[in-house]
Amino acid sequence: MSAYKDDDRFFKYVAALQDRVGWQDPILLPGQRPSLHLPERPSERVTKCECGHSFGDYRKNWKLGAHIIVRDSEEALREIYPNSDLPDPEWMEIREFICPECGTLHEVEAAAPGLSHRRTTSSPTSKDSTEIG
Amino acid sequence: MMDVMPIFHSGKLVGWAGAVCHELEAGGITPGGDVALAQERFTEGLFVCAEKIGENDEIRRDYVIRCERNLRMPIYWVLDEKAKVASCIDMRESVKALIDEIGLDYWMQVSKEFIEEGRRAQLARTRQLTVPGIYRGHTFYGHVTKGKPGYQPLGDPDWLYNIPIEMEITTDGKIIMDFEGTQPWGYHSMNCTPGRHGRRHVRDADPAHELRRAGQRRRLDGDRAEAAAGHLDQPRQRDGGDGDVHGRCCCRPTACSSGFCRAPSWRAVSSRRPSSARSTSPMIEMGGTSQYGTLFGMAHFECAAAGSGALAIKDGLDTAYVGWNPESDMGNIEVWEQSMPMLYIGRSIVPNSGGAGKYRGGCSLPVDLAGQQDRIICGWSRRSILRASSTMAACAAAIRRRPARSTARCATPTSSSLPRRSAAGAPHGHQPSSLGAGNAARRRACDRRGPYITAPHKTGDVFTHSYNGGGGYGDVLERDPVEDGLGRRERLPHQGGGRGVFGIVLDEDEEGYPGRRIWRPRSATAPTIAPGSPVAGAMPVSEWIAEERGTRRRRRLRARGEEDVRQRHASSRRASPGFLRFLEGRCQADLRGAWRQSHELLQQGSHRDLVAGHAALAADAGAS
Repeated sequence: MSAYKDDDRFFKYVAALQDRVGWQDPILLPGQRPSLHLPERPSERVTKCECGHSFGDYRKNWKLGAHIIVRDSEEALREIYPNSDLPDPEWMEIREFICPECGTLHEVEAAAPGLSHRRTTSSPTSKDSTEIG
Repeated sequence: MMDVMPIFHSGKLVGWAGAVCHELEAGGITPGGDVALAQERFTEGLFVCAEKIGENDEIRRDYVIRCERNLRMPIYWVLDEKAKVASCIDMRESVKALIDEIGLDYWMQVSKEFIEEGRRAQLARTRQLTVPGIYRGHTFYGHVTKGKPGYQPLGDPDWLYNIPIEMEITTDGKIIMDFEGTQPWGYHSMNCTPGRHGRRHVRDADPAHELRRAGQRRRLDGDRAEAAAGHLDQPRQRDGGDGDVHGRCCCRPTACSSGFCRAPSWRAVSSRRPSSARSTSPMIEMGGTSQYGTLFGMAHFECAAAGSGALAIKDGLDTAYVGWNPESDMGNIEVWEQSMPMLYIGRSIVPNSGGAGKYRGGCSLPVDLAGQQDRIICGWSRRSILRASSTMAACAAAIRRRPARSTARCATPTSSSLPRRSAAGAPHGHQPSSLGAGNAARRRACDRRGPYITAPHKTGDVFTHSYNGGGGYGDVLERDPVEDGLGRRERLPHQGGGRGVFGIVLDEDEEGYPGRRIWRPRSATAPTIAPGSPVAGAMPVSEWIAEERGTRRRRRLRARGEEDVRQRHASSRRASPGFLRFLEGRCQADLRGAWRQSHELLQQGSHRDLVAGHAALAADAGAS
């Protein structure tokens, strides 16, 4: 894991990812999340799923364009914790952000109910952030 | 506790030798080293400021007497002090011998170059492994303490800490932490200084972690840390406890790691993505009369060996990972049994107790202990009600992680046949049931939330405790079901886990070997379904936000009680102008007034005023 890395590793990685996706826009920054890339269209830069779904301008919170599953009940939590103790759904919920088109799970958050959503984003190139809650 | 010793050569200070130990016992209001129930600093036990404790390689007698008078089990503290002093002397003599060999001038030059090299290497490594920018994460830490034995009336009944972080990686490789929005101190044992917040973050989550020991120096932005609060802002406020500071500062890497996890993947070095799901579990603390007939008190560092979080390239480790440093381990049973009047019935691994994912989290570790003496009390610390932030354990804030299941628990002590069997020289099994200690359901019948301390045990009582598993990584749909153990007997910890948790079913050939993968939802609402299929139970985020702003959120908050949320936001507002502006821009009109009143109370008075104010607000809300 800590071994020497090729100087051109980044570009090899991007090339491999570019071959894997079904669209032609060049990937500028790969793997913001796995399968969630930052390609450059002729006139804009967007956050994009491997399936081709665009989440919009890269400076905005991509989660605004996602779908969400909120596990905030014992029944919903039991689906992923079938045989052990559960988090208390009155104190904690699990939010799963998925691609609206292909259903790929892009992010999971564990949060207290009522959490403001502004601080759950990352921006690699800009200080801009979008409040979504 | 850390000891440092100056190194002089030819009358010149040429360096310092240092050694540090975790201490088993600190002489607090409850036994143990963390003193989880110490809500004020006045109940935390022995205080040792940065002070001189010896001369001419000898520890002062008055210091040793002070330790003996203030600790339940001073033998370990004093022995540790002697060991640390001895190791410092050893280092000092080695340095002096080296200087004799290479010359003082060369030493003075090379020692500074070594420090500078570490600093530059850290910056270079950060530039190599990350992408500059702003990374944000969020986690929580909370305890349900209302009605618990041992809690003092000063503390809030229950508390919930809001822990945001904004981490900036600059183009020259500097890492700047901003904790704005974190709440201020409170009457509990888990307050944290800003420096410790930052150090813990970086130390546990930094992808360039191998450089930690290369002498590099890290610096916190003092202004930002101060503004963030969420700590004991000494000297202005010094009442709260911080004996169990790890309880909160260790859960912060959960949020920090979300940034450190993303940064390497952007640079195509996912293998360097750190395991953010660190493994400090709830720690057992105990005390009473030892098997030697003397007072004892200790924190059980077996908690070092919970399950680790999954990496981006492999599963987490089962019960074998230490988050804070690689030198620690869970310790041998026989060694622990020498230190405490408890005998191990056994250790085991809980199948499927790590978080689900493409790579699963490490499994948890339950232990069963039987008392050898009467009047032993056992407790556990650092148990957040929120699994995601349970002291570094299960990190869902990192990329696509699901937290580990809530397996951490302690059990009500029940009597067993161990004393009778021991007296007869009869063997005993390795499960509590083999000693007639009641079934698992009975033994688990205790409050699993928050710090906890038992009523005094008697000889033969069985105490069961389970350490955390780690969080998973990625989508379970991407997991190889064969690797998951569906068809491999040697992977017993996850046998059947794929079917029950992941909604994965394998075709089997005529001889029963796994064949073609089939992805099937386990239920109509399960999200783990075949790629390309519509996901049942999902909704657009915009619709969810609208619901959250509306009746649904209010219904949920009301069901739980709004006090903790109000208090959380109000106290964050006091410490954080940015968070105040954010809240006022988004909160509902009917809550805005209540929060403003809370804020005014905070500005005018103390934490106690706030609690009283909340009670009044709640009464007003109920009346209206």
